[in-house]
Amino acid sequence: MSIVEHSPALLVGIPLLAAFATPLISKASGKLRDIFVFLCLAFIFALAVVLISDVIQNGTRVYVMGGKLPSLTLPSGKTFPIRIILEPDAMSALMVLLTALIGLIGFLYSLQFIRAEGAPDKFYTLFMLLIAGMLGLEMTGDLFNFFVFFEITSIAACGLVGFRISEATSSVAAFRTMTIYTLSGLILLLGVGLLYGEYDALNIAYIASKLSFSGVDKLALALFIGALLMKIGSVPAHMWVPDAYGESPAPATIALVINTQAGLYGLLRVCFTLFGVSRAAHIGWLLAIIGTISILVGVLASIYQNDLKRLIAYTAVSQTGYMLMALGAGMAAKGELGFGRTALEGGVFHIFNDVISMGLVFLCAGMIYRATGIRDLNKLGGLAGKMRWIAVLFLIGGLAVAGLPPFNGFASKLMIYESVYKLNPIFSALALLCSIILLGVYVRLFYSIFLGSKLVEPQRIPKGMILASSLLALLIIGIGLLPGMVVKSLVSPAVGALMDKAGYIGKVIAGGM
Amino acid sequence: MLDVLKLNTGYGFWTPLVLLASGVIACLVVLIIRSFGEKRYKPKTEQTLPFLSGAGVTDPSALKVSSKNLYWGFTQGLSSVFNGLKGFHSGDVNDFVTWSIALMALILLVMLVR
Repeated sequence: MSIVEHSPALLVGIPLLAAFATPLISKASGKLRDIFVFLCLAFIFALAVVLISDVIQNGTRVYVMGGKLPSLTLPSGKTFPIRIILEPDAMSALMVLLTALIGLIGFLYSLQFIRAEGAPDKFYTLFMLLIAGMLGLEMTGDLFNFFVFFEITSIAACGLVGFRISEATSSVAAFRTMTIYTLSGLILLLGVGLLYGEYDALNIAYIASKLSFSGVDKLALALFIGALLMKIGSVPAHMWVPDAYGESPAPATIALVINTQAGLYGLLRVCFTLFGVSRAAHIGWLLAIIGTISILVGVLASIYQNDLKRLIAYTAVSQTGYMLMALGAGMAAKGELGFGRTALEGGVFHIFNDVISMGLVFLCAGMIYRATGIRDLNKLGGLAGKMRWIAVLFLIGGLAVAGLPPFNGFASKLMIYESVYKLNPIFSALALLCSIILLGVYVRLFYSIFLGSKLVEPQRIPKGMILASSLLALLIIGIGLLPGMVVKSLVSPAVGALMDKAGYIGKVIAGGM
Repeated sequence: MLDVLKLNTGYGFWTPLVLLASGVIACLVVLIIRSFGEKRYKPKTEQTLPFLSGAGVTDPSALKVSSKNLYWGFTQGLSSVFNGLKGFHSGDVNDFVTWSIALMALILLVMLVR
């Protein structure tokens, strides 16, 4: 037995078990709990690195849960797979790596953050559960399993949004988030049920190989897309996003950002692997239009906001729009070589960049709130004198989100602008205009918080929180300076795997022997 | 080596190091120009105190344009757009569900037409 062979199962199993073990260990010692959670997350990150290097080198992996052999997808006498199969390809592995990385950084940040908030055992239980749900969702090759992990992420995310139970606004935000997550979960389940009724199977690769694109299939596709658009918070189903991101503690917000990207991954998997893009070009146009509207609404709504975290949350809605626009362009071009492939690469690269840059901005917002206890931008000011390092970090994050060179956001946005221009120049022009407005929004934020006369005396911020945020800033600068290397080594193989529907199906249907 | 630093964007390429090199040159030019500037400036003296129309300023908040007033002209000019957006984001969970269902209906309609 090798760790590489069992890495997909371990990646789901470890955080899931850790989630339930955390409150028990916490009873013994808080320090022991922190060490335990750290070791689990560090191990998950190491496994994610092992998995991605293996998948990029050797191609898509299959892992049969509870099977005689992990790679035996069709035991003798069986013509279609019955057991739950995890099927990580380069795209899944990229998402797994990103989730593991953000989980680790989120934990390092939360060490001193959550202690002051109280109930760290409950926080880490929900945090690990969310990580487990996302890792499962990103690797599963089974539709019902996909729904189960979708629900695990939803429940854990709602728990984290309402974590500050003593504050009424947190409970209201959790209720609003739960309403949309429940609705999207039910719609997703209906889609899964339709496909199961038609094909008597739940395996994604098997269904993809049999899919006839009948009326029922089209209905299922519409349900999947609708459910996942609600989950990722695209306009007009975005209204839970400012509540969820705004009210959750900062280390939970960063996990919610990657949760949104996991939903986007689900959309890619459904559109490209399950249904195939060749018959869904019109859906590509629809997604590109929804993406453009999301960018516009997100950016415009952020202009009149005066609440620090809600403002940033609206800019996160606009970033989701950029990714949707790129995905739509990739689908409309049927993923062919040329602008379709570039659009997809830009979109997947932007997923990578957005998690890091939005994550940094949210972590900085958390530190500002911790230092001042204020979220109203009209009452903040002049913090740069006492919070110099945080001001620099916030500036790096904000400029990366706005897409200013040489930060990472610029590289992915440039790929999106150029490729979407080929689909429709208006989309591209609007996206560019919104990036300029977004820069204005972040300039306003920076001025309101850090410049001018000092309106509030900030408290000292623990070094651990600054250190964790600095890791994200280093990644932003590193990726910004070496975008070609990241695209060639991580993004391009991921997009290649996503477009290789036959390869994905073949791994399961070949029987693994 | 240069290939690693270059990102092909489909129709062109992007090399961040070119921008960085330009930035360094621009900074050098700025420093040279600055060296010809005013020599009598002394930090942390009365030269740096706020001075508004001859009156001393005691309230620090008076020196700062508040966040809501930044881009005032822009928000006033587009007030109808912003009022519409504020109405759209009512905070009522019934509206959340209504808009989500509307999105679902739109997707189903597109599927039905094609």
